[in-house]
Amino acid sequence: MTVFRSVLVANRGEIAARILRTVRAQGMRGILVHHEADRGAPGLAMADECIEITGRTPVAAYLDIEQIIAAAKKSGAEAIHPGYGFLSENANFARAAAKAGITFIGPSTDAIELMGDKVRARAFVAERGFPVAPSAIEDDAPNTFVDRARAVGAPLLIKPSAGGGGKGMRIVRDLSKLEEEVARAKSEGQRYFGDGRVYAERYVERPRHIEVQVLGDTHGNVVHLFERECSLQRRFQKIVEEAPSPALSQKLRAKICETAVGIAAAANYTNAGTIEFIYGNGEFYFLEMNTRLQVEHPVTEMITGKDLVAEQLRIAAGEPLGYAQDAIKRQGHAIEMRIYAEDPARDFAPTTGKVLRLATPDDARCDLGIAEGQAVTAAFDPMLAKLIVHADTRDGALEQADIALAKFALLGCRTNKDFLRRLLADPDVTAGAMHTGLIGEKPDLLASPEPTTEAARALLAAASLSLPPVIESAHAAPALHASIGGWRN
Amino acid sequence: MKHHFLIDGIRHRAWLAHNENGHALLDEEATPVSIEALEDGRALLRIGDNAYDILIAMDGDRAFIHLDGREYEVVYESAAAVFEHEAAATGDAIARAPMPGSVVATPVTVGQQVAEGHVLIVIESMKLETSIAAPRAGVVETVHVSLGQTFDRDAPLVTLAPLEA
Repeated sequence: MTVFRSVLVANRGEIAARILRTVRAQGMRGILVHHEADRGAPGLAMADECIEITGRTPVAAYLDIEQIIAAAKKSGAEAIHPGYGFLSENANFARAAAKAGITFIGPSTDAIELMGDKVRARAFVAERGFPVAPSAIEDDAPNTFVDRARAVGAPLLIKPSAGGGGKGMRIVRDLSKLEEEVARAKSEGQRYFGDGRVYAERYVERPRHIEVQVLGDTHGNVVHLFERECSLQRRFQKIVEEAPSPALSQKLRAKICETAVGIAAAANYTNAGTIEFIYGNGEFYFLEMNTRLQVEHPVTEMITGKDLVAEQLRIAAGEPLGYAQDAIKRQGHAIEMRIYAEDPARDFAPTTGKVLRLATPDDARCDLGIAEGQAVTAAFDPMLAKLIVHADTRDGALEQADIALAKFALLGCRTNKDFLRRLLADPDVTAGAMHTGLIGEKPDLLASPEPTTEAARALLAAASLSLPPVIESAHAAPALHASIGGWRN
Repeated sequence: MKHHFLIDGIRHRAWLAHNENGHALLDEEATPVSIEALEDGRALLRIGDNAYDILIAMDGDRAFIHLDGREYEVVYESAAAVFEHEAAATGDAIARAPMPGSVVATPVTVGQQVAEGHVLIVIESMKLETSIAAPRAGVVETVHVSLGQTFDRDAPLVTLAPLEA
C-alpha cells in the first residue's frame, strides 16, 4: 500500500529528480512544478505530471507559495515535498499546505519557526543544557561585559551585534589586550553599522563542520543516523561531504549524536532534520538546526542503507519509525562531491553553456540536476550534480572518488571537476586533517595545470579532424605539404 | 601558415595536412592522425603511435573534449576573430562581461564622454554586484545590453570609441 497516492515536488534540479525517484519506486504518482528555464531537466521526464509555474524571475516562481499550492490542489496531490532551499524552511508554506488539506513533508510549523530563528534556537538549546559556544553578550550588562568576556576564555571572537557576513569581527588571543580590542570593536561597529554593541564568543580555531542526521516520528521516537563532516567549503558553500567524520573517536561520535537526538527530542521534532555543530580542540558547540532534507543526505544513505526520502514520506503519513536506535548500523565510508558550474581558477565565478554531452561513471551514485541538451544559465544556483561513492574504508572511498570524477564528463560548460580531483588528492584531505578554512589556505589547488604537450597535440588533432574549415584547408592545399615530405598513417 | 586554437585560453598553432595516406597534424613535426567516431560522442583518436578513447562534442568553432579524465575546450580562432582583436587594440574598446549575470544599472548614455575608470554598467551574478569600469577614456559608442537582461561571460556590454573620433 502506498503511503500517499500522489506527491508534488516543489523544487528543481537534482533534488527534484532524486525525490521523484523514490516517489516512483514506491508506486506513488509524482507531480513536478517547473519553470520554463528548467526545460530539459531530468526531473521532468520522471514526473507523471508536470505543471509549469511562472514568476518575475525563475527563482521567484519556486518561491511562489500561492501558485505552488494552487498547482498542488489542481493536481490532487496529497502531499508536498519541498526539497531543500526555496520554501523548505518556510513556515508560511507549511501552514498554507496544511490549510489546503495537503500534507507538508517536513516537521511541524512550530519546529520550523523555532529552529529558523537562529537566536531563539541557540537560546532554546543552551537553556536545556546542550553545548553552545561559550559567550558573553554585552546587552545583558554592559558594565561587566569585559569581565564576562574574559571569563569565556581565549581565543575570543568579538562580533558586532549589528554586523553580518563576517564584517567587523576580531579574534583576540591575548586577553591582556581585551579591553583595547573591545573598545576598537565598539568604535568600528558604531562607524560601520551605526551600532557599537558587541558580543564575545569562544573562537574555535580551524573548526570542523560536523552535522548529525536525525529522524523523528509522530509517535515520540527520535533517532540519529550518525554524522557527516562538511568541512571542505568555500564562502560557506559546501563542496565535498563525507560520512562518517574521520575526526571523531567512537566515544565522541556517540556524544555528538546523542546530543543531537536530545536537541531534536526537546523540540518534539518530527521528520528529517540535521543538527550542525562546530568542532575543534575536542570541543563541539551547537551551531544551528536545519529542518529539512540536506543536499548531502546521500552519504548518510550510503552508510546506513536507508532511503531518507522514503522515511520522510512514511513519517509524514503518520507511520512509526519501526526501528530503534540500536538497529541502525553504519557500514563503510561515503564521500559526496558536488559538481558546480564554476571556474575555481577565477575565484569560483559561475560558468554557463550547454550540456552537449554528459557521461557518468557506472560505479558511483550520480544525482544529476542536468541532462544532455539542457542549457546552464545564471538563472539558478550553479550546482549541477552530485557524485557519491561508498567503500569499506575512507582510503577506498577516496580512490573510488577519483575514478568516478575522471569518468564523469560534462562537455559544453566548464565545471569544478578537475579542482575536485586535486582537492581530494591533497595530503591534508587524504589524512583527514580538514577544517573549514582549508580550501581558502590552498590557492594553488584552484588553477588547472596546463595540458602536457602530448595532451595538447591530441586535443589539437581531435579538434582539427572535427572542424570542417580545418579539414577543408587540409584538402585544399595538398601541394603545400609535398615539400614537408610524405607520411604514413 | 597555421591555424590558431585556444586551449583553455592559451593559444596554440597547428596545421592539418592531408595526403594519399590520410591526415597529419603539423606543429613542430608531422604526426599521422585519425579519428573514428563511436557511439554517443565517443571517439577513438589515433595520433602517431598512441590511441585515446575520447568524448567529443562540437558547438560551432568550439570543440569540447574529454581526454584522460579531464575536460577541455578547444576554440578555433577563425581569421575574422583574429582581426577583431587587432581592431580592438587600435580602435574601439569593448567592455565584456567577466562572468555570466544580469544587468542591474546602465549609468551611461550613447555619446557620453567618460574617463578611464568611469562606471559603464553594473551587473549582478550570484548575489554579487560588480561595476564594470571603462578600460580607458573614450566616448560611449554602443550599450549592447539593457536593464534586466541576462548575458554570458565575455558578452559585449559597452563599446567605447576613442576620444579623438
